[in-house]
Amino acid sequence: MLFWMMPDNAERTQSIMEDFLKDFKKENPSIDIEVKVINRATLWNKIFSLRHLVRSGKGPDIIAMPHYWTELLIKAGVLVNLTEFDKTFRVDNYLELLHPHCYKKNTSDIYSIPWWFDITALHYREDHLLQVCNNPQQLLGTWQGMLEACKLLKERFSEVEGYFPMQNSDWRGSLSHRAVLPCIWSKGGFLMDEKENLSGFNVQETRQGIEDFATLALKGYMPILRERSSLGTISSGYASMVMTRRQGIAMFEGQRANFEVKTLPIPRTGKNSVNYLEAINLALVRGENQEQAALLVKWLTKPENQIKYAALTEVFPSLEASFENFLISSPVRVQNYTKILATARTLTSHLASGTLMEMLAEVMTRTASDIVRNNYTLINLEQYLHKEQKEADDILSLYGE
Amino acid sequence: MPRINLLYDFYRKMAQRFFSFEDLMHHALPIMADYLDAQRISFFNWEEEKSIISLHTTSLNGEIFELQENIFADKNSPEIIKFLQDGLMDSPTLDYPAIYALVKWRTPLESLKALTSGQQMRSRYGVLRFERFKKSKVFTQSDKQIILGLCSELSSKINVIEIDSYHMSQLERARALNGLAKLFASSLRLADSLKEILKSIQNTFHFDRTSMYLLDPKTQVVNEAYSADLSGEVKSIDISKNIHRAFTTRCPGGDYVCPLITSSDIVLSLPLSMQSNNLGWLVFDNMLSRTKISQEDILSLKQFSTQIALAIDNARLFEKVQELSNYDELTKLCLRRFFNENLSQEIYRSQRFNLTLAIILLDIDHFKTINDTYGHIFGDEALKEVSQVIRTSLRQTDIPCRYGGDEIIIMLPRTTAEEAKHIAKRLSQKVKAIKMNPELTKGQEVHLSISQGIAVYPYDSQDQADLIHCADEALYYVKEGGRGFWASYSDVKNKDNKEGNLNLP
Repeated sequence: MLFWMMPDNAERTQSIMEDFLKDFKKENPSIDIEVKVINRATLWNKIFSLRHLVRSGKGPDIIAMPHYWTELLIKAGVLVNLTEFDKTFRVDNYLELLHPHCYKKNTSDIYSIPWWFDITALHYREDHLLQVCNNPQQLLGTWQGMLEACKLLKERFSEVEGYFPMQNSDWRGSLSHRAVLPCIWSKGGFLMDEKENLSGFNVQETRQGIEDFATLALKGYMPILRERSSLGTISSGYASMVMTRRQGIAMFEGQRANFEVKTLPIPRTGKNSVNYLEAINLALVRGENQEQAALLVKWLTKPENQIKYAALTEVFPSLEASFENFLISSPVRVQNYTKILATARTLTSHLASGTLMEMLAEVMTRTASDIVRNNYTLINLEQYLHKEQKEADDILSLYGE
Repeated sequence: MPRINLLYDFYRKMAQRFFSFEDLMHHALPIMADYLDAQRISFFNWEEEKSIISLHTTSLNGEIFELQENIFADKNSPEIIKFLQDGLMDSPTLDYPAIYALVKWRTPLESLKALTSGQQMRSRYGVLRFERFKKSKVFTQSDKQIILGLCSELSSKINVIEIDSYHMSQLERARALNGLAKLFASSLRLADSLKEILKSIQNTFHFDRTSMYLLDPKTQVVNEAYSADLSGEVKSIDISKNIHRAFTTRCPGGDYVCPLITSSDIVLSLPLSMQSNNLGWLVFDNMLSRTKISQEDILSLKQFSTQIALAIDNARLFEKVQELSNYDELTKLCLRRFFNENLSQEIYRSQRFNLTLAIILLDIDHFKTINDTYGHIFGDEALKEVSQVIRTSLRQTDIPCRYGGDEIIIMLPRTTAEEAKHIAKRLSQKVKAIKMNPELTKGQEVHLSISQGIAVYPYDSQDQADLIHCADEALYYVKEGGRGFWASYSDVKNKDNKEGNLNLP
């Protein structure tokens, strides 16, 4: 059985997963599992030829994928209808925000099961922030306040070579299209309108949200497109803040750091703070090993296994009960994440959601290059957004059936 | 190991055929890391357009990963110009020993221009990064020489893979296109042909969607559209639903502009033309995946669009010929041979599923007199009007046929005698309401009427010829009784039983 997954734990993904699956293998010695770790960009390309891979018997049996890809894979005709396959599959006991992405649109047929999720948050070193302001929590409530904090921190640590106020959490070391979403949404921008037939790339609020986020790199508060994006980490002391979807708390506690890291919602660029929640869903691919693959999906989504994997990966279990247990097991976690989860938002469950995210990524990549080249202008950004708007509208027209 | 031996060892270990770039990297990176005592070695693609090098594969302590990392690399900056000259560059920022090495190879150029200019290869660049996590283990001059040697060997291997995979893809394409050509040549039924063509294109080229928009030959307005999506399933597109506006937007002049899209590298539109007639167009798009459509594909599809147009034209011609051979030109009703074939199938179906089937045989009353009095033009006109009434008054499953002269026969599947009489009554009323053009009758008002005989399977007969004969007897019975009415064969039998008691409605 072939299991395609993304590098949830960077270079340690394969070994962590293989260790994690040992219990499953003990329970099911006859089932052989091959874990193949594929990065998001490659996986995105592969899903468009998945039908042909499946037809030639070279496809995976299970895919772990961003939840908003489900509708696309259903359209490609490669996923198993879990409701038809096994009536015991259910998603009503998962976090409500994740439900729409499990079903085929406008039906009660389940095609994917949430495995885990993560959510954006701002983590900061209190010892650093207290050196530049009296009330970090208040200052970091707004984007403008956070930029002010960056300015003060940059001045404060100007003598530390390689220091940046903000650690870049994007694995590529670029401007993350997922990290920019809270800025866009908070400002009132969007990728797709509520009727799902027009895109919002050209909307003023979307552009302003991107501009706000890009300011971090533009003013030199966050490193981009440099070697090993891990440069300037909060834990090494070469950064004071990080915006990430992973639970920083577990990481910092684990390292027994001698400084305190506090967690806040992403500072608001508009009226309210919005935080981006993304789940990784498991789906069965049509093929000969469906029975075995279903067993593995059930095992991975067991409450205790969800909690275990979430802890290993610094993410959250997606079963409502497991999530609550996980949250209340740490008072710090409750304190930090209750507010953040109240402002959680995710992408629309739509066939084109993945494509719109790719388009946003393209805008962010071009913007990042422009910034590094000292070529960033509002006109350039508007041009990129205008181009994507036209294309996105065409896509929504074509695929809005 | 001395440098020369090490390079020979590498050459020996690489002396095999690699089927893909991934294959090569998975094999080579751990070996190279081992030679250089590097804990991590990564291969980056150089995306010149974006001025970044983008991580492709990493090998850490012998294990292979696919991770993501982008580093700005502007070819115009002095550091990068020097790197391109030297082939090596120390890491500018990492605080442990790390070195970048240039890998250079040539790849076939997929463009029309290249095919004509003879310039068929272009240079591509990649970058290897060797990392040693211990600060003290710096890369020596000897290490650097080894790295240059390894990179050179890796480059030549990549060259081979590029050319191999180009040839393989050419071969696969040729095979696939040959299959498509056969399909185009053999397709005769239009709807089937269109679906098969789209399905084959999808299976060969793997587009996100292939759509075909066809124009009505007379009005030049899109009247038919099909599309095959990611699932390979072919569907008919409802043009009226205002979807696909991207491809079917009308410009002020009235012509269809196709496509109204901004990114030409992910959408390809090709006209389907035959001898300067525009039949429609094909649209291939990768709008969801945003994968560029290769020049190779464009070239192949351009060649094939003509064949596809020919296939469509052939299929349309075939349907036209079929229509002409099955339908009467004057009345637009089907001809006897087509009717008999369908009646035979319908009787078989009725027998199998225990259904009734009615037929109505009718003719225009006093048709010969009408012809003699007002001429053949008027007779033809009368026949056309009556046929028009019949064609527009029946269900889709009913088949009316010009049986000969002014005789018309109608097959009514799943119909009882009573239901057939209702239909006959309706037809009779509608025919009586026909107003003939007075210019053809020198101002005289002429009213038409029809006589109709009904027979029902299986009650009147289970034999096709006999069933028609029964309807004919019923028609004769009506004519005997004064014309302008209808009767079923059972009415005729009842008359026989009742000896002369006419039972006309």
